[in-house]
Amino acid sequence: MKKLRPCLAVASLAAGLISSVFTQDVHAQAALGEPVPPLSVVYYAADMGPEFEQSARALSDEWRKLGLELQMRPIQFSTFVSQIIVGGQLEDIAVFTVGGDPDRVDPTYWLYDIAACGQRRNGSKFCNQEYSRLAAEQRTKVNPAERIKAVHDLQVRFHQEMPWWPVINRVYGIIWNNQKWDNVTSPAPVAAHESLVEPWLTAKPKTADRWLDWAYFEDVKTYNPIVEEGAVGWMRFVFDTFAKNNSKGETIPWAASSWKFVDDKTIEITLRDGMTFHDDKPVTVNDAVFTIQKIIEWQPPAMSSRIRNLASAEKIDDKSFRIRLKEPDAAFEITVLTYLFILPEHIWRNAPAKPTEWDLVAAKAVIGSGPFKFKTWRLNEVHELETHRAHFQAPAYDGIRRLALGQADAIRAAMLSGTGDIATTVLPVATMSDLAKQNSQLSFMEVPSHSTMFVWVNNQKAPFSDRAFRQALRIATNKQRVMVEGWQGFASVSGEGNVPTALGRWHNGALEKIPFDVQKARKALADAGYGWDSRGRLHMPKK
Amino acid sequence: MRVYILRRLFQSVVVVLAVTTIMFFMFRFMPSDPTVLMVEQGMSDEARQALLESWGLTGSLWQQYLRYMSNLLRLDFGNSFFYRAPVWDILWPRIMHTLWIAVPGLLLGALIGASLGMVVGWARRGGAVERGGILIATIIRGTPSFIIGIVLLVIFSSWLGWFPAFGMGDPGGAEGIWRFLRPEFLHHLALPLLAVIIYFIPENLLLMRSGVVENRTEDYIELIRAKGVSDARVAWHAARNSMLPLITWLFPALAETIAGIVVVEIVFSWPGIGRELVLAVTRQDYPLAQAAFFLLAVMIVLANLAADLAYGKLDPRVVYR
Repeated sequence: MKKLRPCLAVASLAAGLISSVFTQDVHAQAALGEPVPPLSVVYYAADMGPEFEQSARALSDEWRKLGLELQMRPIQFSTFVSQIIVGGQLEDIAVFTVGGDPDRVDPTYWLYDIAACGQRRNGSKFCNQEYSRLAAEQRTKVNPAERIKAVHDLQVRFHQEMPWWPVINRVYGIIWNNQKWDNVTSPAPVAAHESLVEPWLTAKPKTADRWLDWAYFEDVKTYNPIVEEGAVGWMRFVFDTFAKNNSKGETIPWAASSWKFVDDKTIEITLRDGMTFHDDKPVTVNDAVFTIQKIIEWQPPAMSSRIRNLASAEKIDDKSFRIRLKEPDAAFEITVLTYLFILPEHIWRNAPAKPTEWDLVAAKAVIGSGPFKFKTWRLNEVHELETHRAHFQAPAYDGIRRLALGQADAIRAAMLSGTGDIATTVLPVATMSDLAKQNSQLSFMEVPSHSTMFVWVNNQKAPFSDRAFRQALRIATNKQRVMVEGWQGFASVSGEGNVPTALGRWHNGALEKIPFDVQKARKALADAGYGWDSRGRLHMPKK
Repeated sequence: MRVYILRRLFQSVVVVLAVTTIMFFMFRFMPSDPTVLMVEQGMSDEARQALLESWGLTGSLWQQYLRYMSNLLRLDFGNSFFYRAPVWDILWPRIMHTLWIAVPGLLLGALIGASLGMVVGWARRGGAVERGGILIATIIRGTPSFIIGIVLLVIFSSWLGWFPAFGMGDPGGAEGIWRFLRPEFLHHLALPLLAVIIYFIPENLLLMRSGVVENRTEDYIELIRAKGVSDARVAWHAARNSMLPLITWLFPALAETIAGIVVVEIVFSWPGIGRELVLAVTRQDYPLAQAAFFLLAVMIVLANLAADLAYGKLDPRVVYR
């Protein structure tokens, strides 16, 4: 009995303690709302490279400190695009990148295409009617100063809402054989993607081998420009466009020597003198007008997003012509003038009834006015384009070959053996950098871009529908860590807002900076009514 | 025999139809949408619909299936989504490229393997030659073909620099049919061909060895030996009668080689049908992928039928009813 009393006392004390803790827990729980359920974080699977999983994990590590339970879900690229980006099936959080495509040099993509109500690519399901109205309206402001102001204001609104946010901007790379080539320039600060082909026009050969061999993954799809949706790159070597976006983000004359808006729906364009097609016939205003009229008539599906606003084209005189638009379009220069090409009327007037199915190679009709002309094509092996000497920016070498090597190891082997002269986006940037360090015959340059890694959240689902939660998650986003761990330093920490800093004047640099701070993020959650249970799990505000 | 052939042909048609149907529905049940990557995402809905119609992707699944099967009966494989060109124009040259590796690789692998199998099978039972031969054959047989390819690349291309690491020819090389007659082509062919040969040696070695071991104890061998013929000649008689399994193995092996050669083509960036098939699947280029699978199914089914018929011809003890 004597021994029993102390035992009973200890047992009672323990029971009391446990009970009080439990009671406190129950009382504490009673002050909290529902626990935030486990959230899925989706990202590109390993077929796109390890950067995406590493970035998603780096971000999730920090977000877990907010008391969140996160489940990592890699998704194969094409499934990700069709389900998450355009399919509206984002469940919770997505971490992914969009490329530095040429069209994305215009702010409309960042402000409207992926952020306005009902847009197919608005996978985060953000919908603010006033924002969407203003985002559509900015594209009609043909006055540059007015448009810049409108674009900056939109970024302020977006920043306040924080429906999603950028993390890093990717850095691309170019590696080339410096024993054979000189003067390979950088398209920075705006890399117009499409494998960064533009700077090669400046390259100069140092040896008797005057053919530039580009080591790449895959082949060209087609030589029919009306079925090719890509805006620059290989096709534009053969078919000139009226303008180009240069490395400073400016739209500069190319096949057109100048243009002006005579009103907000009419543009007058003057054609460059002295241009010829690859069959030595002169390029005339008739060819330009014919091309635009035919495109309006045919409405090729691959071109639809760029040509849907074209109303008509008409000749003014032997040097100039007029394009009429259906609606004002301030992005016309950047996205349409740099995309529209010139077709030779003397060939395309004989196009078959279904011009989108015309095999130009078989018909020996691959005739453009670009700096290169078609020579040979061994499907999925190698392409050859010969230099068009009469071009106003003809390169200083004899031609260019595209090697469809199919995989990174073959590309690496090609660069090391000297079979390949230049490689671009097909190798991981860190790999390119290492190859150049280890092999003196190779040089490497970094090319900053507007390609962006995003964190998207499902704006229509709790807790993401709560702005306070989104803002807290943003504060807990460690961009620096993603740059280092995910991209090995080959990325830049993104600016604030939805327009990348690489777009220069379009980016609003005055937006309030949000430094990474987990404690501050927790405080923001607490201020918004969120709480944590004894296990550290985050709970919603009590209703 | 005629009844047997007709029955087998009918079964072959059923198998091919089943494979084609499974492939058709499998692609359409895959979770992603083929138009997403093929089609510029800012495309208007009308334009996208027009493109889907031209690709035969509108209508119910059954309507698409019936349309596809009726085209297939006319051997119309449609146009590739990716290349926007007739599928047959893309596949036919690739089949030829694959055959350059598959046929000589298989035949040389069979010949070398059979020869080595004869030596190993005739050697003293339990001796070093037999044990060593079986061990090496087993190791190589258990090694995936892409590992063999990578090892060859590392040794002969990377370290020694004797052979190119990829492709079917030099970038600025010859065009047309003449390219296959030039040393440059053979130079590029060497390593992928060697990978296929090495891959097939073990199976033939072991098959031949088994046959020789079984036959060397037969009465007719004793008779031949009693005639005073040399040991090598006796071995040859045993080997001849052990060849039956090898010959019948060759037919389906050829079809399976073409199907399985994909990893070799990827390792060596050889522009054959295997590599094109993988690309078509990842790009969700339905017409190209379906046509490739259809052709492979037809080849395998016909090859198996040929093997069965050849066996009946070669071995009079076999009777088909």
